[in-house]
Amino acid sequence: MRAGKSRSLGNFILYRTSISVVTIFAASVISFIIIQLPPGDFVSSYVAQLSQTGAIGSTESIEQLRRDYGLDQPMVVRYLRWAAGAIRGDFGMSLQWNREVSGLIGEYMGLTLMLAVLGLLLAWGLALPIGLYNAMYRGSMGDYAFSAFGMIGIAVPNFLLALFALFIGFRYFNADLGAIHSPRYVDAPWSVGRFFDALWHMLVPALILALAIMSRLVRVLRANLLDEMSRPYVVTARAKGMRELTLVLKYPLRLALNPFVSTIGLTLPTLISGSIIVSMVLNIPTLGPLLLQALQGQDMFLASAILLILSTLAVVGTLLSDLLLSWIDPRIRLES
Amino acid sequence: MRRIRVARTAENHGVNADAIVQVRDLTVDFDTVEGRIRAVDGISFDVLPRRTLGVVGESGCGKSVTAQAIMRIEDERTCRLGGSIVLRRDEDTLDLLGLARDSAQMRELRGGDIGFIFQEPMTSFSPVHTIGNQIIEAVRLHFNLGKPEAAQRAIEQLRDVGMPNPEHIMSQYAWELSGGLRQRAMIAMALVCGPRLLIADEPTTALDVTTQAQVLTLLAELQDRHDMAMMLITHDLGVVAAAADDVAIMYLGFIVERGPAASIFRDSMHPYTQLLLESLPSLTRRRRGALKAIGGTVPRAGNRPAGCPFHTRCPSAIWGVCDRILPGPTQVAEHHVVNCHLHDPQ
Repeated sequence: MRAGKSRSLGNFILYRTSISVVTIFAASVISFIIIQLPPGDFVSSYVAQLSQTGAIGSTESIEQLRRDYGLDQPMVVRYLRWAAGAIRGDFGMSLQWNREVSGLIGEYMGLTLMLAVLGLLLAWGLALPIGLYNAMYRGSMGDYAFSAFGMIGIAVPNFLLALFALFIGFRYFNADLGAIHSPRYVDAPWSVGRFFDALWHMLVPALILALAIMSRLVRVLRANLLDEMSRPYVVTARAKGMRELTLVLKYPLRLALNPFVSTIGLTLPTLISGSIIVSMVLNIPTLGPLLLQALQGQDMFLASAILLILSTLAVVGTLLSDLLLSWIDPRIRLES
Repeated sequence: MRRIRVARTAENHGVNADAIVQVRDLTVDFDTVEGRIRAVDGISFDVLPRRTLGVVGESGCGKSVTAQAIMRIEDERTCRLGGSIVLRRDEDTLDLLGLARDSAQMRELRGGDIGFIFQEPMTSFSPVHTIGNQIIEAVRLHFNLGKPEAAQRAIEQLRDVGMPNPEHIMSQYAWELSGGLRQRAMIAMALVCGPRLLIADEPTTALDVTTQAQVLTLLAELQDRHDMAMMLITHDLGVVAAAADDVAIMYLGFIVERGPAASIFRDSMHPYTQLLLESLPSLTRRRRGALKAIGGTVPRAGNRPAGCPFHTRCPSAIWGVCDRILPGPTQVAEHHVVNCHLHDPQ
């Protein structure tokens, strides 16, 4: 019996992982194609830039440029070349920055992940107790207050919040919210001190990003909990003589968390792409603004690489939440 | 309808000082959008030691609500209780309605002195916790035991209810068991702290007929072995005939007739009881034609008729009396009380 259970769990993981690999492959094809869909390519926008500054290249040199970048090859060949490099971690050269894409992304990745993870932790850390409170004391003043606050959190776009925060920080605290590092860490190499300094400065931007996600989580959690709290197994637990809070934490919360866990995977890429405008307003160097620039300049290798990373994050996140779900819910683990 | 259990001698019957639970003038009101609705209207009964009280009635007559009131697991937001429910513990007595719903003392009684079995064992267990986890939890809420000792006790209790391979069952989930085994696990969980009163709310309704009989036999055996009083709530007179020593018939929040099972089944006095008995299918008595049904439907609790609650469906209702005056209790035999104008000497 034991062996049977672990084998089915092993199969489950193997099955989900192989599906993920296929999905990532499909995502890579789509992100590569979509980047090249708009008319023109990097060379034409490069030429447009050149002609604006007055230096017009000859048709021959333009063709030469296209050949150098391999843009004259058919799409399939270009994709295969790119994909072969991507597997080895080589995403080609950024045409705009004239640098290796992998190095460029690596530079921005640290702060991006820091902001995303911090935002996610804040959203969850705040949503759990608030959702729990709202469900246990539904109809109370606190419930209404939090719900109203949550509506504002959902309704106000986060870049507006970022602007407010920027203004308040500047006007009343004489602080620049966009500064991620204290002056003495600005040019210093990464160290523990620099990490925590950055984390501290990330707090307000992360809170701004977390607010909308948190408000949605609170609403979902409240509704799920109210659903679960009227189930017979809750009455059974009560009839055993359990304390109400212990009971809610052990039974309904555990079941109400399932739909939550299954959305973790989708939250991560949303946080990163959703941070574009906030990052631009606050001037934080994350992947978001980098992606926007790359798309504007038709810097296809950079843009494809970032899109691929975002979709991989979504797939890996979904995989993780599926595995987590099968771990916390035996019905999924044993019936698959 | 085989009587599984030999009727016990009624030596203590009716002596209130001995009752495990004395319910007096219990009222249960619900606040709804349509206003306050009275689900239980001043009922009184006793649950006596080592005896089984069968509470019978159609859906919505207030029987489950009564059980929940004894357990104090009523919905705090909408439900208001009145009257008194006195529980006797070894020397002292406690009015349960005087205790706060979530007080330490009430929590100690719940699951400790009073065990509860629910109708649907499937949904009454958490689907993501093992049976063992949930029974061990029940033990540790009432006894200061470590996990291994509590697990040992849980296994013994599972064995006591006739569960095959109890060690294995401990690591299983409720949805992995058959209906009968699930209900056995539920019974084990209710009994694991040695309650003096077991309330079983429709314990056999969700089971198939063969399993029903097994569970009823098991409950009777366990009651004898553990010296418990039992309150068996059911809509099925057949179940009551098989398992109860005393019977209370409920209709629309009232107890219309109560007394020893033998007396009720032999000399039922209330027209409602008589109609219920006639609507039972029987293998021994041959009847011609279709099975009898009681005409009409149960009025809604929010729209209860004046006078006797049953007069709208009663074939022998006396017009001018039954639709005006609520009948009081009349003693018709020893411990046998009926609330009906037909038997009221006045």
